[in-house]
Amino acid sequence: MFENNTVEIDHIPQYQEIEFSNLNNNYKKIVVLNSLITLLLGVGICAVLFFLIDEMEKLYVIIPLFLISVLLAVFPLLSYKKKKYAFRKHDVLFKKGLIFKATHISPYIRLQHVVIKQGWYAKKIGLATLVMYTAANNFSDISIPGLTLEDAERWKSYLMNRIQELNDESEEQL
Amino acid sequence: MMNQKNNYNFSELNKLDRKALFLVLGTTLWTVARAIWPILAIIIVKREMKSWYLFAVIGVVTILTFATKLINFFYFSYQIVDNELIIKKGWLSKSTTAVKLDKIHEVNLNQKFIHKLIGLYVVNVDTAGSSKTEIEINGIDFKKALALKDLLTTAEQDIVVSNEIVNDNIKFQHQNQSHENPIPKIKISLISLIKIGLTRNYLQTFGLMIAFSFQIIDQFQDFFYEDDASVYDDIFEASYNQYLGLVGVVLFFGLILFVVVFNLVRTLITYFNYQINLKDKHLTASYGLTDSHIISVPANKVQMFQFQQNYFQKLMDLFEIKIKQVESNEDNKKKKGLIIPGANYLELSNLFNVIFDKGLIDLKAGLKPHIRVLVIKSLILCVPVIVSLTIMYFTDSLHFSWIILPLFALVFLLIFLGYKNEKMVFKDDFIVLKSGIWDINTTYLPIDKIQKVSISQSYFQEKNQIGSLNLYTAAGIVTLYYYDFNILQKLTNEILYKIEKNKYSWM
Repeated sequence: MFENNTVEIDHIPQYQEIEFSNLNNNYKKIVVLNSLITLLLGVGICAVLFFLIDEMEKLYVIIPLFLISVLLAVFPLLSYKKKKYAFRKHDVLFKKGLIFKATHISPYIRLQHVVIKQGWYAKKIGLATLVMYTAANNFSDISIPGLTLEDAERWKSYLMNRIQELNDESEEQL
Repeated sequence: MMNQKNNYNFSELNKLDRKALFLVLGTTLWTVARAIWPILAIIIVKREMKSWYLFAVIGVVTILTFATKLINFFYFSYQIVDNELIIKKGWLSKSTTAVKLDKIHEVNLNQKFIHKLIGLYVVNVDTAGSSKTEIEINGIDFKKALALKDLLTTAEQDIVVSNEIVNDNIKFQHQNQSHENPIPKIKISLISLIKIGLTRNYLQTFGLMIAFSFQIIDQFQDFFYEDDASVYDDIFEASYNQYLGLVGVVLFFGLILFVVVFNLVRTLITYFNYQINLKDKHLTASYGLTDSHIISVPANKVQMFQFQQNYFQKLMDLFEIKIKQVESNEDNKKKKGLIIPGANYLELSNLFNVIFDKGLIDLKAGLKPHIRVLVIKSLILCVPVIVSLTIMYFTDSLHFSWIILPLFALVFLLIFLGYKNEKMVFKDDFIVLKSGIWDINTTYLPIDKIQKVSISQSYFQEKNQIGSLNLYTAAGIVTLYYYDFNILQKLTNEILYKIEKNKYSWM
């Protein structure tokens, strides 16, 4: 299941040919909740502005603000389905993006530590986020949301084992 | 090695030098002065003597600061036991820091002006962790500091050497060739330094000056102007006088001259008497007029190799080299690594040779970004032009529109130059990226130092098969923006394959 393809000099494993796994279905609930909160906040601010300011020009502020908050709320609803992940024998891949599609890949041998995070709502429905940190400092962590806590823990122990194995191999090599 | 260092026994507890008491006093006065100078300035400017107890408070603060620093001084000790550097600190709350010698990335000996006066050094030890684990030993005399530095850096060297013995037979012939005429030492003469000082960092200095002058103007405003009057009004008013043209020209050329001279002086003071040498795969650089620095970097921990050249420097065959190490997480202000302000091509290629055991790579067959990046940037440029033209149209000031056209042409030229200069090569386990508009930067990124890759393509780029690739390292990000997507995919696969197969450690 976790094999990379067989390796020959001319045949390097292709990351684009891998089958990615989808996030847990329950992750949808978290996305919907987040969108609702964003929308409520946006509408709330718009309402406050609407009743506080008395001039007609207020609409120039309120309408764009409203549109932006609707966009911010709707966009995650469309894009969360694009979040996919895969673990190979040597690296972890995470794909996301509706308009700007990006694939983040980090080899296990470069991972520093692996952390499981849980928000309050995620905890309630039994989901977790698996965060993998490297030594690069800016935006260099790969975090996979929407795993069941059990899966996340299993992946974490798998990763810890692999990291240890690879580091041992790396040291033997020297 | 150890026998030579016999006169210093680092395995016992070592204290700071007695003379470092002066440092304690000096830093105390400096911290207090820095904290209270605004108050003093106000008193002097407003000529209001409040009362004596202000000075009493200042005195008490000074004594307290001095006392805490004094305690820190007496309870500070360092020793080396079992390949670990151990630092003990604190009187009531004690702390012990232990660092494995092979985790040390960089050892610096620094001298601020006050250190120079009493002849002591600060030893800074950088490790791969966060900046909290950085170690500072403030107050060692030169010989002891050097001995400590050698000990800290050679301990790890022993490991590397023993590793290399295995490969020695294979490498032997190769090494004979490549090390026939290495230049183990680069010295920058005063003349080269002047040349470099006259040609480097125009933009940076200019930005610095603008930030600086705003700060000065703000201070002015605080002291001398009431709330409603602005110092800017006065400046504008003055510049509307009839001498506007003349004053403008003088100011403009004065500014350029000032930037150049300021740059020159800054470069001379910072990099005076620059020397770098290579011993046992360790780069050691020493420089500085008022503050002295000695920096030691193990060659196998270099994360990125960069050199930079602008048009003037090209005429004089001078390069500015940056050897990048791991950046600390918390404050990016303190970039670790080494800068060599001026080296010629021979020195540059020798240095590269010694660090990576390979030659510089020819960029002629390099890849270029897709031509559409030029179109897109020009389109983006059109937005402010159209906006400003519309504003002019509606404010009846279209007769000023002649200013915009040359400006547009200039910016377009800069964009074009940027495109023309950009080139990328993937060869010999290096990603090489050349880019820049005026200062042309060439970055060599060894692929074993890459921590993460992210390859991306937007919906609009799909039709033309264009994309971008970000390479994340511990020393920063390298971005290949707007290249052929198929090539980038191939590149990604190859990079991953090499990292995962070689399993080299990145530090």
